[in-house]
Amino acid sequence: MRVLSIIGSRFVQLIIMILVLSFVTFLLMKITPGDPIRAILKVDDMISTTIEEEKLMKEFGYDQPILVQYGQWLWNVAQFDLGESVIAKRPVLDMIMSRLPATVALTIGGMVVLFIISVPLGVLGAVYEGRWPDYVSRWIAMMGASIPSFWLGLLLIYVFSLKFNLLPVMGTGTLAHFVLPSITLGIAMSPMYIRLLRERLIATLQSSYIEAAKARGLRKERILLFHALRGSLIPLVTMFGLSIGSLLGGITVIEILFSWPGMGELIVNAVMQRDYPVIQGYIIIVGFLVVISNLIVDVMYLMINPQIKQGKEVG
Amino acid sequence: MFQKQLMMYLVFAMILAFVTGCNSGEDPSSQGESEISSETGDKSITLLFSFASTTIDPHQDWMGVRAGIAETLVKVDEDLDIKPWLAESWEQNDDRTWTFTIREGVTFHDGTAVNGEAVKASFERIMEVNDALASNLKIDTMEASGQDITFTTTEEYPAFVSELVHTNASIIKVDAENISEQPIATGPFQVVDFTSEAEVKLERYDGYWDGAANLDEVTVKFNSDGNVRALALQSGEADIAYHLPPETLDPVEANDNLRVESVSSLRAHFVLYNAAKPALQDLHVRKAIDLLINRDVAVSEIMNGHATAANGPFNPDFAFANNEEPESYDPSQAEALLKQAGYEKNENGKLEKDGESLTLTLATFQGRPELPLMAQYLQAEAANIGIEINIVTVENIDSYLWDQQDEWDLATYSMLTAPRGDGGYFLNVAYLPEGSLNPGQINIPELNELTQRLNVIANVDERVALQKQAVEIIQEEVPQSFILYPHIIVGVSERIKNWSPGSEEYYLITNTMDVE
Amino acid sequence: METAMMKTSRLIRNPNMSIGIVLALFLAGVTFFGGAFVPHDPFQIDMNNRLQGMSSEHLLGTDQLGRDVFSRIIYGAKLTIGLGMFAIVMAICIGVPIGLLSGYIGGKIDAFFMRIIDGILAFPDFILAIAIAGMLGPSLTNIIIAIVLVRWIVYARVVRGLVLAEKEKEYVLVSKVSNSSSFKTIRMHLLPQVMPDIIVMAAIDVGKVILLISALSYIGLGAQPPIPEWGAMLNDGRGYFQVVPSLMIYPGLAIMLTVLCCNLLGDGLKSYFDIRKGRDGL
Repeated sequence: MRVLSIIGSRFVQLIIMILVLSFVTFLLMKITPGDPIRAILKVDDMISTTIEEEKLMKEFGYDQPILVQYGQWLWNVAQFDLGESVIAKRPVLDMIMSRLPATVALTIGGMVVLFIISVPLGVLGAVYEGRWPDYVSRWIAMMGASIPSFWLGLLLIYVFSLKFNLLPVMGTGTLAHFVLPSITLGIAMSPMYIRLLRERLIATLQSSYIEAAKARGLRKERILLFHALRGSLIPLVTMFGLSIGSLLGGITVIEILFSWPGMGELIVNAVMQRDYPVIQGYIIIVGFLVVISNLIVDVMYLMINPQIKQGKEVG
Repeated sequence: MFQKQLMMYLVFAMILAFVTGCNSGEDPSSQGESEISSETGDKSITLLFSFASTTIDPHQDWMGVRAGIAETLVKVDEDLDIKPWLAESWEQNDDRTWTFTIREGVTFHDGTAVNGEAVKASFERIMEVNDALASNLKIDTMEASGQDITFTTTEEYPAFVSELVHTNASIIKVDAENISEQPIATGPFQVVDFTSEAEVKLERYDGYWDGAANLDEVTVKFNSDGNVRALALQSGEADIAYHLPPETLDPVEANDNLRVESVSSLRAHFVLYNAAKPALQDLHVRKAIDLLINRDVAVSEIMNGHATAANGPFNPDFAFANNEEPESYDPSQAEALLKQAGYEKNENGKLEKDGESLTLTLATFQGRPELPLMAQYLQAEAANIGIEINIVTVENIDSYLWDQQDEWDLATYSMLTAPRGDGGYFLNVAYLPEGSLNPGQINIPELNELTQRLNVIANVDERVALQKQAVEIIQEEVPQSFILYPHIIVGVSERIKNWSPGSEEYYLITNTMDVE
Repeated sequence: METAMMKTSRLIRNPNMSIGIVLALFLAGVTFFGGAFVPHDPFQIDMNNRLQGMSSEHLLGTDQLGRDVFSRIIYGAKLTIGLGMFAIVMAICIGVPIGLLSGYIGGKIDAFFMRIIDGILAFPDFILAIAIAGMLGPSLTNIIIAIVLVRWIVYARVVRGLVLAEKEKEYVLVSKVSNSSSFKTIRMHLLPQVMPDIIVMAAIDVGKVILLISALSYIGLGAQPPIPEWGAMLNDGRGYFQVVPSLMIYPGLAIMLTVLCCNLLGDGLKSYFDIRKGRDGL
């Protein structure tokens, strides 16, 4: 029953998010000047006539009142139809779905880097709490949180692509294409995780079941690796699930910098070209991704929580 | 306890796998393994272009002809003269009718022969899917017989043949499936794979009528960021990179493996005046601003020398351009003109007339990175003599200029002024009051009348004479200040042979280009 | 109770805090007095001296239009830092009262309000800012509007949570019972309780907003030329970063230093106020 109520409340969250955000963007688009019709007609200095413009306006339904347009759009969404891009003339769902794998792939790449960076630094900080390795780790986290990610990416391009000519500058394809964007993303995300892991580890290392393990004469390294670290990874995964939204935001600049054909690049182009259907579709898909990942975290918690308490007692 | 956690990680991994799995067919990591296929002995190149294509349908996107997939009946050569292509010859029967004879032996990529009927079907599809081109071609009826096709236009239309040069007027197999991703046409290369807004992969079509291409494979990639294109060229990810910004050229030129090719384009960069604004309706003011533009410095510093100073809308290479020297930079003359117009300096050093200071809003856009620089340069020059210019950088300059006509006074703008080697198009769209690219509401009766006359004249010499007159009127009235004609700047790897960019930018990939 | 002296010394003894304070004093000095010391007019274009390297005349060289980079960075400090602070103050002015009220009133209105806020909060704020700024058109004003629109929610959310925890406590109830007006209760009792959290969040947020502005500028939605806002300078210098890397490096360093300062101050204040819970402000 508990699970059902969680699902229910997350679903309500999804509906509200989509309704509020799509309405706000819809309104914004309608009240600010500039429309995509002219952008379509102006492709490569093409000639446009007023007749064509009116025809296109009709075709996209822009001659209707705003609320009617919005209602129409919602009705289509309820039938799982996200409409067609005004510029590319392709189904919005197809466009977003064709960009999703690249974004997911980059996310995974970023996670690998994130793991490589934050676990050692977090462990160092916790084990040597208050001593110099702790300060080093905290300062690295602090610096990482202060660097503009695209600037870091540019510096990486400068060093690795231009000075040493080791890695590609743009696009996807081979494994080498993943290196720079993943490093940039991983570093940009890591400070939060380093901090969290350190705090959790400190808390766990002081907890009773670790004391019990020590008392049983287990070796320190073993305790650290197999007990404390494992216990501390749960909040990290939770955090990842909950911060998927900010991840999708942060990945956008990196995708643009590296010309990575992901969802972020798509949405920025859509905003620039005022491609309404794509923007609205993106809001729905991202809202969906965010809510689903939150839901998974909720359910996982429900499954694990009693177990953790038990584990503490059994030790 | 450990098992539960393991399960949790598994759940998480499954979610990820699910999300990726949904589209595993297009997993980006599986793309582009042929990156360095030249190692296998295949001749392949990568061309990096600036405008991304969302479809490769040759009737809707220019990349069809640009990438050597499709071809048109006629083409323009280096001197922008019209030459036969798929049509070996044509003749004009009367003011409205033309008959074209299609070359024997031309085949589509699936091997079927191209005849008059196929050409007719192709044009019928154009009428259906491309309204803008259809309204431009003005085709009334078509008749095919054997290798011949006869077009009849709806009205007397001297420019008809030159309109057929338009890349969207290309010939494709209309009953092919999935034309937007896998069109079947007649060019030296056929499409292997197309990823929207990312790349087109091409391979040689062995049955090409004009001799099979030297290259085995070509990849055309898109990237809208000029700096990235320059970087990709240097790192070897591209062999040809189009439209490099002038500021990125130094390292390319310094690199022994690369060369910079620069050809004059059919384009002009200019400052557009909003004719609806009272201050700018005064010719003195427009002329004064014109005098503040330092064209030589713009060419040498902002464009790194890859441009020609402008004296009018058309590049001096054209017969219909005029050959006067460009207006020289002269701020004191500008000040004198403004004085004549009634502007006096107030106590803050700003020019003012009837209590109103001369403050202008200048719109510019990042799409061509040199334009904001020119805008700032003009802003500084204007400030020196007491004109205050505020710059707004907009993303979509066209909709801004049209939709906010009250807000801007000046705009830096760029247009193809002679797209198919003729100025008639520009005179029509940029100066006629109802012109589709006339957001500044320019309306010069004398010029309008001249353009109307031009539209019904076919004789080349008469057209040239009329267009020269038009240029003179434009130079007197200064509805825009032409700054320079930018070059098309292309970075090319030294391994590319038998290739150079053309001014028309229609034919990027050819059957004759080769690599070492 | 600690004396004021003890408090201050506790504040300064935190190493992060003291470094942060030194940095902040330095940045404040540059912001307020830098304008008087810049060697050149940051707007003066000199086409004969473009893209110069470092020299005694131009400490950090000149940019693509021959303007002095050092002068522009100094001048830009006022703008960049000022805008970041302004945006956060605006967000606080909107978010905190709403959070206080919503939490204090409670009931269905509160529940309804928080539902909406939770819905919006889950969406990436950066994308929302791009969408808003993109549609309003690129300018600093619109960027600030976009940032305020996405940031106030965070404050409302956090403040409301604190109020909920706080309002059932005895002293608030006493105040309520003793016929104080709601406004007075909120102002006298609730606001002081949430102040430390707001201050810590704001310190860190100023840094975040500066990063946000610079990222938006990089996408091309930023300040209009010739304004030397650091993010816009980075964007302008992008094309030259191979030839004259300093055009990219120094504005970036300036941003990094400022954000670092904000993070240090936030971190120091957090441990000073002893705020334990990980409120990262999302």
